Parts: sequence; structure tokens; C-alpha cells
Amino acid sequence: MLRRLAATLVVLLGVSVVTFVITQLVPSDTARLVAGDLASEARVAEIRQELGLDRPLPVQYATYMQRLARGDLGVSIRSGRPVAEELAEALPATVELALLAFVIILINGLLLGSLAALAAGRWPDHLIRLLSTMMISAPTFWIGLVLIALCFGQLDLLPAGGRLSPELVPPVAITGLYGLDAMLAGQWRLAGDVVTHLLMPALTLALAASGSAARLVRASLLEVLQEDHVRRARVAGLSEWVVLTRYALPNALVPFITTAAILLADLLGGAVVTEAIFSWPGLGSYTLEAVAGLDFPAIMGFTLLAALFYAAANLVVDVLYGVVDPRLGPA
Amino acid sequence: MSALRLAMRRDPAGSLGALLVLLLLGFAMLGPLVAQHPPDAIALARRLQPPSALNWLGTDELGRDVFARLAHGAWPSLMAALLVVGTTVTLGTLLGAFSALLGGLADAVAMRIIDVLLAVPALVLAMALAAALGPSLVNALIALVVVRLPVFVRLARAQALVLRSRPFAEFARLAGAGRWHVLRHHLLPNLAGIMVVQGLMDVAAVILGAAALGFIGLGAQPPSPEWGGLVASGRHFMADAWWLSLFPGLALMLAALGFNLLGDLVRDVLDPRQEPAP
Repeated sequence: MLRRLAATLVVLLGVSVVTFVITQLVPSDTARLVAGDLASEARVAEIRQELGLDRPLPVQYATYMQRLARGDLGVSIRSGRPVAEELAEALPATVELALLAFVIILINGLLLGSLAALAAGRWPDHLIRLLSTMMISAPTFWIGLVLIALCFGQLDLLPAGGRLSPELVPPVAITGLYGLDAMLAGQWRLAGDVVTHLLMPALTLALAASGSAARLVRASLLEVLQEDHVRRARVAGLSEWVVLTRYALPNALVPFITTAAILLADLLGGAVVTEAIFSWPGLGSYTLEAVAGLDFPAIMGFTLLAALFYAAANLVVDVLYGVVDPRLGPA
Repeated sequence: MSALRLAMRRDPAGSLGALLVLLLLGFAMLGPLVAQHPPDAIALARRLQPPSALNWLGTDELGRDVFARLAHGAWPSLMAALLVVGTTVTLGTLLGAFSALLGGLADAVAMRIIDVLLAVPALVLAMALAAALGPSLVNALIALVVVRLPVFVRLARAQALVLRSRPFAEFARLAGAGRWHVLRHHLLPNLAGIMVVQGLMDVAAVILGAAALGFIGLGAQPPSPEWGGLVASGRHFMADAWWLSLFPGLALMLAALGFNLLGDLVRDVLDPRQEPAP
């Protein structure tokens, strides 16, 4: 376990080098951006010195790392506020969205994957395969637009964007997840409003990963269904349902766990596009605005955060593996 | 060929994929010839017209014909993806094989770099890179190559390590062949097949990645009729002019679907031992 932790730290250190190098690639002059177009050359030089941009690169990297170690991701060029603070404010909205999307992915994956595996080679299998491949093939941003046009524009069922209807006040922040906070406070009408706002973006975000999940579950379930203990259970006369849920699925889920964690971390990438379409005030929208404003401290802050999530997801998988399948031993 | 026919009968979805890819190629080549209007002819009097006999897929906010723009955007969108995949396959094969052959420190360093590149979600890294390089189609493609490359390097390295210890390669080495001879005559030819198949499986992901970068504004710049950009520029008119974003998005999905299904089919044909694609 310690070795895994050390390896993770090395990778994260590598990512910090990558983000540092990327900021060095930027053709635009950071000092000039901070100073604004009207500032004099002398003022730009002053700012350059203040930000340490006139010092040699290794020194700049060392200072960058010192700051990172303290959780300081630098200051946003657009707002002048600490990036870490702004990311922390945007985080709960994205977590809420990603969690619901993850639940949708699991349900879709298990349902479609099991159905396909049980009907392997027959028409439901072919149909589900086509469906799940279509889910993977549909551009996330386009699905979002189509859903809005359909559910908001044509049917007027669901709101088109934001976390809450404008006339409502957000619940008292406990977790930062509006839905959970509203329920904890017993404000059910508010919670309902939150859910209607969550549904479309969560579906959009979940779609591609749902397809992958269904394919994965089908593949690993097919393998397990051939195993002796499952055949024995069948021969013993247990119902298909019991065979599936008690004997086959638990074993089929072991390889699925790794990928599920990666899928969850990957949602951060999809969140950029999805949040932009649904004006969802989370990390994705924040990053997209940062991209538009060439705000590199903010972009790199998000990149580092994403890498951190990825690393954390992988560590969790290693631990879960040991729990689910004791034969594998401690990681 | 009979293996292919058998696979098609066993795998109707794969045949659909092959058909979609053929249709896509046909559309890219013939579409611009069939289109009734040039792709950039502005006609403000006929702006935001719904699909009709005069404009098969309607017109955009400047009165440009959506079908013509879609048709002229097919080739660039497709070529961009194929260019990225071609580059990643070639570079990935070479880097992976070199790394396996050299071993030692160079190999270890290369693999750690790969670990780092794989530690960030692909779209996030591509976005950061493309933003740093500056918004343009070429830079978006470079970013996509960097993001997709690690998987190919790893695969090529693993395969090269296996091949290197196979009798024919061992024998060549014992017979006095140098490293480069083994690489050129024994490793690369045997790697080519599997790498190309892996590349084919990646085309759809690259099409979607390029479109996503284009949608964010980091890919091809307007007025280029690249499909991701077409969806993006149509999004603000979605409420009353649904045809602007619907058709390019649909085209993207069918293209990605075709390549995904075709990739599965080819993999099954070439490697029947593997579980057939779900």
C-alpha cells in the first residue's frame, strides 16, 4: 500500500511538471495580461518581478512547487482571487452532478449489460450492443442540446439550465450539494426543484459512460456465466434471477470496479462540455471560462485537481479490490 | 474473405458499421458535388430557413446552406481524425518498439512519462494543451496526438517485448543481427497489424475529441465548416432553428458509430480467440 502511495505521489509530481511546462508554452505574456493593455512597460516589468517571472525556470518551478505543497494554486488572472478558493466554490456543484451521473451509469450498465449477456447472440443482445455503441458515439455536447430542445423547448418538462429556479433560495450549505442539503433541512419542494434541474445534465454526462459500462458488464458477465459454480447453481435448479444476482453478478463486478472508478474520474472531462451547455456553475463551466480568458493558473489548477481525482480513484480501486476479492491480497 | 463474410453474418451490427463508414466516405466525396449551393454563400434574405426543396437541410443565421456546409465539412473532419490516428499509430509503434529494445533507463523514463500523461483525464489534458498552444485546428490535432499516444506506446512496447523473445527474433539475434535489423525486419512488421487495428478502434474517439475541442472553441475556427464547430455555432438558435445543430451532430454520431462498429468487426475477424464484441 505504501509503495502504491509513493508511486501515486511520483505521478502527481510528474503532472505538476507537465502543467508547469504547459504554462511555459503559452505564447502570451502573463505579466502583460495581469497589467492590462494600457499599463506602461515599466509597470509590466514591475509585475513581472513581483510574480517572479524574470527568474530562471528551475527557480520558478521550485517556487511553484512550494506553493502547490501549501495548496496554493496561484491567483486567477481574471478575478485576482486565489484559484484554490474559486475551485473549492465550484466543486460541490460538479460533485452533485457527477454523483447522480455515476448512479445513472451504474444502473444503465448493470441493467443493459446483464440483459445482453443473458440473451447473448440473440436479438436483444444485438439491439443493446447497437444502443450502447450509439451512446458511446454520440457527442456529449450535441446530446445536451438535443435534450434541451426536446424536454425544455418542445415539451416544457424540465428547466434548461442552472442549479435552481431563479425565485428559490439555495438551502443552508452543509455539504454544498443542494439536493442533499435541502433534504437534510426538510425542504422537500426545494429538493424536488434541485432534482428537476439535475436530471438533464446528469443524463447527458452519463450517456457515453453508460454505453461503456454496459459493454463491460456484458463481457465480464459472459465469462462468469461459463464458470463451474454458476453452472452448478443452474443445475441445482435455482431460478435465473437468483443465479444472476447471487452467483454471477458479484464475480462479474470485480473487473468492473476498476473501470467504474476510471469512468467516474473521466466524468470531469465530460463535465466541461456538459456544464457549459446547461449553465451549471461547477468546475467545468469555471474551466471553460478560464480557457476563453487564457487564465492559465485556473486551467492548470483544474488539470491538477483532475489528476488528483484520478489518482485517488485508482487508490480506492486498489483498496476495494482487496475487499471484494480477498485472493488478491493487500495491494 | 470468407472469414469476413462469416463475421458479417454472425455480426449484423458490424456490417452496419462498415456500411456507415462507406456512406461517410461517399458523402465526403460526392456531397460537395451534389450540394446546390456553395458552403460560404451568404444570403441574408434567406436566413434561418427550415429544410425545404431549395435548402435540403435548411439555412443558417447568415443564410448559408446547411447541407453544403455539412458536405464540405465532412472531408476536413474525417481527414483530421485519420491524420491524428495515423500519427499516433506510427509514433506510438516506433516509440514503443524503441523503448522495449533499448530497455534500461531510457525505457523506465519513457514509461514514467506515459504514466503521467495517463494520470489526467484525456479531454482535460487535451484542453489544457490546446489552450496553451492557442486555438487553431492544427494545435487541437497536436493536443489530441499527445493525449492518445500513451496507450499506443504502451501497447507497442508490450507487444515488442513479447515478439523479441519469440524464436524467430531470438534466432536472428543469435545469428548476429544488430538491434536495428531486429527492429526493422522482425518487430515492426509483426507489430503493424495489431497497431493498425488499435488505431481503427481509436478513430471514433478522435472524431469526438476533435469535435469537442471544436465545440469549446479550441479547434477549427469559424467560418470553417468542421462538424463540431457547426454544432457549436448552431446552439444559440436551437430553440427556433433546430436543424442547425441537429444535422451536424447526427453526422458526427453516425460517423463515430460506424467506426466503432467497424473496429469491433475487424478486431473479431483478426483475432477470433477474443470474446466477440458486445
